[in-house]
Amino acid sequence: MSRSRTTVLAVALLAILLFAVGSAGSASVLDVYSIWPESFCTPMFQEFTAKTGIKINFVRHSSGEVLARIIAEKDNPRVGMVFGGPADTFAAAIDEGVLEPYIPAGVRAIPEKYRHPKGYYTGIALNPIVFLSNRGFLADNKLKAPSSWNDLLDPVYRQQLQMADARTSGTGVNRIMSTIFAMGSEDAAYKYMKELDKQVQVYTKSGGGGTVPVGTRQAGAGVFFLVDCILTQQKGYDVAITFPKEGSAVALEACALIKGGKNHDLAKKFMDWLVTAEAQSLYAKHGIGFMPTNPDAKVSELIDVRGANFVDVDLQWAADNRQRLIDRWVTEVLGQ
Amino acid sequence: MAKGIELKGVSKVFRHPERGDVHAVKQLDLTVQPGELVTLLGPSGCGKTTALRMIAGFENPTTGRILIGGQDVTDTMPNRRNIGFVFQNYALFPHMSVFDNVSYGLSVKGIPKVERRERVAHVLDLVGLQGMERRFPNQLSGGEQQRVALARVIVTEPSVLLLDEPLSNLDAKRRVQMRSEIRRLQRSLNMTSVYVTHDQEEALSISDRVVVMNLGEMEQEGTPQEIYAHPESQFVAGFIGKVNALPAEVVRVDRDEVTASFGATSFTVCGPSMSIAVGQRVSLLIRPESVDLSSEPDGPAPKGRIVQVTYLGEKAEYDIECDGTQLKAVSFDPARHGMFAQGQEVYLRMQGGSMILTDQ
Amino acid sequence: MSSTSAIMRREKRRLELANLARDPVLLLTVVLVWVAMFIFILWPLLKLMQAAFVDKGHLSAKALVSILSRPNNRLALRNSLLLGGLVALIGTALGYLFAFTYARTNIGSFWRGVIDIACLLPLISPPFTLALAILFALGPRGLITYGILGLKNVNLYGLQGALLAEVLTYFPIAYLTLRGILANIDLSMEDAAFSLGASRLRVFLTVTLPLTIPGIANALLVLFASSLADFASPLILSGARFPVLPTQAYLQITGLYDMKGGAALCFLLLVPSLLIFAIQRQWVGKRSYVTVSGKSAASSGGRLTPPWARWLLLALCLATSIFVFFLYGSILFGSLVRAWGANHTFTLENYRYVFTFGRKAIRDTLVIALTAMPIGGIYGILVGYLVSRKSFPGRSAMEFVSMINYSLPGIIVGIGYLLAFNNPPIALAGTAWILIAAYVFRYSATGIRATVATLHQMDPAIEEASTSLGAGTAVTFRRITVPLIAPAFFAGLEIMFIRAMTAISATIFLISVNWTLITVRILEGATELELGHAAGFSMLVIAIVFITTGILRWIMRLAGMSDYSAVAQIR
Repeated sequence: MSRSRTTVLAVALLAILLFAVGSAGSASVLDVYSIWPESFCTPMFQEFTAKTGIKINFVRHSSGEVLARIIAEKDNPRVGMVFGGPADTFAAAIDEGVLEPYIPAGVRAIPEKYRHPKGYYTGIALNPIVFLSNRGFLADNKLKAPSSWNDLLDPVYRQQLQMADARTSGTGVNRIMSTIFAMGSEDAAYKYMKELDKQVQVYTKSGGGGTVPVGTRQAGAGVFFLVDCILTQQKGYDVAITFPKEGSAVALEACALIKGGKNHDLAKKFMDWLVTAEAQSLYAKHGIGFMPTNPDAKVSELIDVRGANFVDVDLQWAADNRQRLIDRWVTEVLGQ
Repeated sequence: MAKGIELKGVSKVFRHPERGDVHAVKQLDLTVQPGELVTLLGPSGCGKTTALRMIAGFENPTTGRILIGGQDVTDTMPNRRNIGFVFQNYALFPHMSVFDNVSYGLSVKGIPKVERRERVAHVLDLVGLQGMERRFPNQLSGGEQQRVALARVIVTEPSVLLLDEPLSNLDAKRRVQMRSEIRRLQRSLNMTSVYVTHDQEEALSISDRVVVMNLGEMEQEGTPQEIYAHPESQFVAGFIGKVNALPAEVVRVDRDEVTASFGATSFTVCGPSMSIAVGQRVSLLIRPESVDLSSEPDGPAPKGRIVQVTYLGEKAEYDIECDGTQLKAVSFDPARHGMFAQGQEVYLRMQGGSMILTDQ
Repeated sequence: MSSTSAIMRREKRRLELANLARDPVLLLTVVLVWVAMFIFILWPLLKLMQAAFVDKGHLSAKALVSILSRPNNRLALRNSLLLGGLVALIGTALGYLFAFTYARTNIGSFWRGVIDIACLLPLISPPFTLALAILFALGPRGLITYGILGLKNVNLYGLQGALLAEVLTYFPIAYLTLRGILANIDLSMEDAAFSLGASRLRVFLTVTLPLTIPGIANALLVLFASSLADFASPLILSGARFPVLPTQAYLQITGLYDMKGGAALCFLLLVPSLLIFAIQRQWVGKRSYVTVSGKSAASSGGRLTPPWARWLLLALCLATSIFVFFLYGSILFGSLVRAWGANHTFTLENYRYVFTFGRKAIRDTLVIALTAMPIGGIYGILVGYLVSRKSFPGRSAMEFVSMINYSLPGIIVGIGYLLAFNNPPIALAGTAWILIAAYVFRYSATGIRATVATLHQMDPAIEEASTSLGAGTAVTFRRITVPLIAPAFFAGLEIMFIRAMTAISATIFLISVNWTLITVRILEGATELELGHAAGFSMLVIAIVFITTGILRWIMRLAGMSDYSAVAQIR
């Protein structure tokens, strides 16, 4: 008797599990690859869901992984759109033919330089390259927070810097571009980066991976995107955010439709919403350290852009040269 | 219900990783009559267990056919042969109670619960295990486990009962008790049985017929009496009981009789099956109990010296050296007849009629 | 080769085929298992090879040559081998120290418990946890290096960091292997040597140590293979200057979008892994002097160590254990404060995050783990039963194939699955099934091995008895074999669950919008800014694993089964 009851129980349990396994994916849910970290994209998705009732399913990957995935899934796309991530990733995706153009309603509010002319992607946020340094470290070494790329070559910083690996992180690529603008030529920039390499403790996999080590004083300083630094500051680490006076590249954070992806109608609604000042004002509300592309949106008080010298990246040039710059960085700077 | 078994030219070759091909059974022909108990007897490695396992279907013969009840079962799965197999280690299901063990075969065959309970109770009664239904195998003694193994098999009323050294794990006393019990059950249920053992006493006591095997081949078959009294080879003689082999030379060949000399003494023996010539070196086989010892020569008898005396209660065994040959003799009831002492010179009185002549 | 043996081989094949022909259940099972193995083990490997070696329809070594032409990749190969060798040596030595202390000194059961827990934690914890904790303890501003020792400019990144993390992660495997062997050495052998006048040192060197050599060899190989496959610790701790193959392959694909190059790097990793697998099967498998016959408590093994040595050994073990506890304690701490390393105000915020934003990952992981558990458990005993109890053509090939996914580094399996199941005919990518299949065919190895070992000790006559009583293959398997190998089945379930909760390397490429995993969230937390979240997820995984294995053991005890000690089978 009891044996048969156990069997029934086991079968029922298995059936529930199998049901759970099979129950994924329904029509009114938008599937998204997010390049923005969990803590940024989740509040945005929730606000959108609250407003429209459209649910968003997402998985978060670094920009490189998202690009690799959508290329691999070209014949059988699994999501409708890519959310967030630097525009050069999108430029690379256009070359691979995996994006579908869409010009969101109300896109005219966004300056032209922040969107693709054919609508392959639309910029929703700005993110400059900045320096992050630990205030305790600065005080101990009687230093001011770095304000020039050359400040980082001070012997005090030897083995004290953390920054992203250009192979896995858009932050790393934008850092390379920043130095090219700052140094005036590519060769000078690579010469500089080779010098800088001696100061580096570790190149992290993700763009923001070095910010917490700077916060905890494992590292003295680093080069990151503004958004990651704001987050570190908000978490309570005693850090300083400064801008290189020679200039820093501003990355455009964008979103795009995936060619042949699912539920494009939902994705379009989402993109229409994302370009509004209302949506972009939410960055400030949720402590997301991006600057909006919509000039009417509210900017967070946390962002202090004094001393900044922003250089907008020529996206076509960036897309054309991205891979070459990374390869050159790997061979010349890492010496591999 | 009882069915006969036939083995026709059955061979089995195993591949051994180091020794290459091992011919476990060679061209075995064997017929077991319905209701008969045949013992396969032989030393370990003689192929007897392999032969039994082929009858059961646990091994497939390399060549030859196996018939049960006249039906070819060579390619039939063991579970479709309606056999009962009693294993050397009993192979009781350790996770089942005595009752579940015994009723297993019935439940597999889809016998209804009520009937199952009745039949199990009846069989447990038959083997003397009433009241043990709820115990588990590890709570039973060796003898009890043996009974469960037996009960588990006979409850299914198999057409053939196969027993693989079923008593080898029991102590001497239990062994004697169980073997007569098995014989009693086999007879009362009229089950065709093949019984594998290496114990000649067991074979002699339990069988209708004994098949002696050696190196994968049948050496001799016959009733226990035939096998014991008329071994056809030195191997059979030596394996069934003890035997003395006297080196001898043929001095005369008659039509039915051969005379051979062992030292200075000549013995006249019944004519052998083989062809024989005068002057040929042969062996005269004689069992120790047929060798009488006496301190006085009484007619022509070889003389020997007692090397060792072993006292065994109901009998005494003597190791004797005689003309450079080691011999054994047994005398029964030594308390009544008196014993010889070590070192004593004795005369060995042997009758040609108790001897068997074989090749040397 | 003589012609007779060729005839015999043909004859054996004929018999095996005849055996299959007369047993349709067996035939069907064998065919199904082979089909499953082909789809989920061989096919992905073939796709990987195809990606690495087929260029526009032609066989070509171009990808491999281009990978090897980069000094960085050659360095990665060298580094992987170096790291693996060091981890194997140090980890096995540490494992031996622990095992010897456990089995050959009369330390009390309390201390044994302490050692056991210190060894259990790294085995059941998710990846990255130890690496992160080490970073916080020993990094440039680590609590120990800077806070206590006052060292400045400590460089943890590179060989030293990865080595420390991997030694601490993998030495428990060596410990469990060697403890089993030491505990099973008949103490009377040591006593015999003593009685013949040998000193303690001599007894150890001439009796105890030689008897454990097969175990040592095995531990060395397993640790080498584990380190070779490890992806989590180097990702955090080795940095760009000490590349290793699994992380290189990962970066090649995720960073450079170069699937071909990634596949070629996987091939570089495949060669040494298969070599170790072959050595282990051919050499170690046949050289065990000790037959494992259930558990034997070696409580009276204290003769071999003089009292001073006992305290020294115990002190060494405790020092290591305390360090391990400290590391796990610091993860717990990190999960309970606002900003690990800077702002140590107590907060439950991280757990609130884990249980709200992490809910999907938790649900997905549990559903996948709980589904993979019974499927993998059944597959494990089925394969174990087939290869050790049934004779059919290709039996030993089946055994070999069943171990392939387990023996290969997870990253290879993951990339193979990605290549094989992304498109029709078997488009599993994006579903839970691809993750479940990855776990089932990779981590059922424990169940298979435990089943084989159990059946090895079980008299085949028990199954034959069932057959002779009229039960067919299926009934015998269900009513006799399964109950008897239940402990092995449960061991398989346990490992399957632990692995499904903690694995990352095989599954990092297989997650999707619909199905994600806690370990991927930990990776994210670890590489992004959210260390508190990573710590919270890690603690959650450890708690779930503890509770679930506790429940499994409780069920086993209720059912009166003996404890198979599943964790001993982890690799």
